[in-house]
Amino acid sequence: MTLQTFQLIWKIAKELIVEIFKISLLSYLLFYLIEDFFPGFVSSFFSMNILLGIVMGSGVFTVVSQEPASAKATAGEGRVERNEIRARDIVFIVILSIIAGGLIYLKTKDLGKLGLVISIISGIIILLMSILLLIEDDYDKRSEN
Amino acid sequence: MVDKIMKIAKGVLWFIPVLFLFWLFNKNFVPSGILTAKCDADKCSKLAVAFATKEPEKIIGETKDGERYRLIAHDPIYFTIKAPRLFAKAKISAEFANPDGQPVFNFGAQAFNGAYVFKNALTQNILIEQLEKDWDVIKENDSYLFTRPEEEPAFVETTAGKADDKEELGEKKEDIKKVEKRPIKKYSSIDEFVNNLPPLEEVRAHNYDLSGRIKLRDYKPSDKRLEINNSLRGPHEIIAYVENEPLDFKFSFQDINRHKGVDNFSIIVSRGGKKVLEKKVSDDGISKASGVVKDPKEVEIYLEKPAFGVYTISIQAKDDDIFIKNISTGQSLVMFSNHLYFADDDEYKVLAGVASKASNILFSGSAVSAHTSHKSALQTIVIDKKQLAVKEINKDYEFKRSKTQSGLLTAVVPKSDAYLSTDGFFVFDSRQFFNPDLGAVLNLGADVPENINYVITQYPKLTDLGNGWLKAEAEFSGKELYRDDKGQYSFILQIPGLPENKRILKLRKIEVEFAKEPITVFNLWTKVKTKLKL
Repeated sequence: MTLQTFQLIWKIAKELIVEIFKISLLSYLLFYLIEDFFPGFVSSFFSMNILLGIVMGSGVFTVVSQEPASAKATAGEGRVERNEIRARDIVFIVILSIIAGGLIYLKTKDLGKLGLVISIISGIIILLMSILLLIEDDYDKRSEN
Repeated sequence: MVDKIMKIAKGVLWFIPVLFLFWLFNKNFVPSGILTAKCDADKCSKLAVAFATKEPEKIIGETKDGERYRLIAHDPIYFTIKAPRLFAKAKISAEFANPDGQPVFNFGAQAFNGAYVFKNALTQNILIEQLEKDWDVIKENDSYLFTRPEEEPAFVETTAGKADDKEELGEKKEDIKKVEKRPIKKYSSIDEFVNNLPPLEEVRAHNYDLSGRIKLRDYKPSDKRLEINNSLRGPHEIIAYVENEPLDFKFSFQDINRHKGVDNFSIIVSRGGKKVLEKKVSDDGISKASGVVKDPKEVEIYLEKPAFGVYTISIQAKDDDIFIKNISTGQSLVMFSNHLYFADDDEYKVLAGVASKASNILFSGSAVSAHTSHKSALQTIVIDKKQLAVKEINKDYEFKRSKTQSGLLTAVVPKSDAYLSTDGFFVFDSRQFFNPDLGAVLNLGADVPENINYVITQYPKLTDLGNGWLKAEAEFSGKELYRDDKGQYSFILQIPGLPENKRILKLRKIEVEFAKEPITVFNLWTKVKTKLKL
């Protein structure tokens, strides 16, 4: 096996494991949410720890195997693209914030009006934090460039 | 090329959680209608919450053939399963080896009150097994009807002395008579047998309940209505026999409103202790103790095709404000249980059509007692030509029948407004009387007496799986099953006498198969509507 072939296999494996990390993390969060609202829906048939193990394993690998952005630039992997915040990103964040607020309200509705206030404030916090992360990410990339 | 493969691989990876979600939906909603949970020697399904928890240690053995089993030495074996939803029935089975000849196995399912409903899987009975060899057998599933085979008629010599020659012998033969036993009726099926029982003294039962099959002999429904026009006061209980006719009662009630409070009441019809029908009768709208009386209310109790048997119609008035003005029924055998409170007296003339009159009644109890609440009703009741003087109000006066007095006795009550009670039944006419104890079939004992021609039994047997392994099964319907608030069904395998007799059982597998209506395209929307209460 030549070095190039090995590098290609390693690149493919890295990409797939990163993809597995994303899939397993999203799946874990989704199934955790389902289990929280419908206890036993998942846990009666499948141990969530197996999925958590996959998330942890692939996550550690993802973190360890990721090269810093500057190293990518010096390695000649091309200019790092600027991630501009687009309108659809904002819409996506708003929708997710509303869903998150709704889920929080379902859990806190027994508190009455206080539950409603908590869910609204939580939704706003999630929205602002998400926008902040996006802006910070965009600002960091601009600074690097 | 590599990019293409990567895209396909990523697509497949993203499809896995979608598949997994479908798998979870399938497990939770059970669209096929069948859900199975089991435990074998080593491991259990994820749905099994508890198994054989009474065993202090988990001892696993292995046969020469490599069959692994769990050693059971304690009774019972608990098996608890967490089910994602309700099921219409459950079939529990256990595979085991029975080296020590444990004779009894019962499966149990926990009911809502915490008690277990049991189904017998095996009760070994040597006599039954002998009957299976010697008598005529009808077998239907686990039910057996054994009929005594016909015997050769016995010959009895009617003249004394011996014959000296052939002529005398010929004459002697004419004197010898055949003694033939009454032929034993042969049934073609168990159903025919239970619906046309022979005389009960010829039948024995083993693990078989015939109580709901016993009819009154020679009963024919009447084509005339029975009218009881005596006014009665307060709660009463009527016993009636019904066979091949509707259950048909019409009552006329009136509320005298002498007590404060709403006079709603129920009429409950039951058979064999089980409620068949309940009819609620509402108050006339007057809750004050005003004495104001409204028009009588007609209430009908009707069952088109009831099962035959003894019915109890219980008028559960909470106090004596409710008067039964008239009873009209299609039944001909009608009795009053425990007491009668006559109310045909001027004391109650505010009620339409009520006026003082004498009441005649017959009773079957060993004693009758009488009391009245009003001075105007103090009287002398004549019971079978003997006098019972009611001298003070609100005091019970008792009459006990003597040894020479048998059957129904007549009580003549010259002034109604008297409360009579007995430890038997009251009837207004001797033709209305019947023995509500229709008889019972005795259980099979240690042997079968000569007069017994039929033995009926529920005798489940274990399935032989070969190599010494046996299978016991039982099925529970939805009514017998109970899913607790944790979503769990609890079952037990009861093996009485196992630890006491130091017996063991080698349990290879225990399994429960739940079943419900499968989800199809045709019923899916109906189920969603029901669930969401649309």
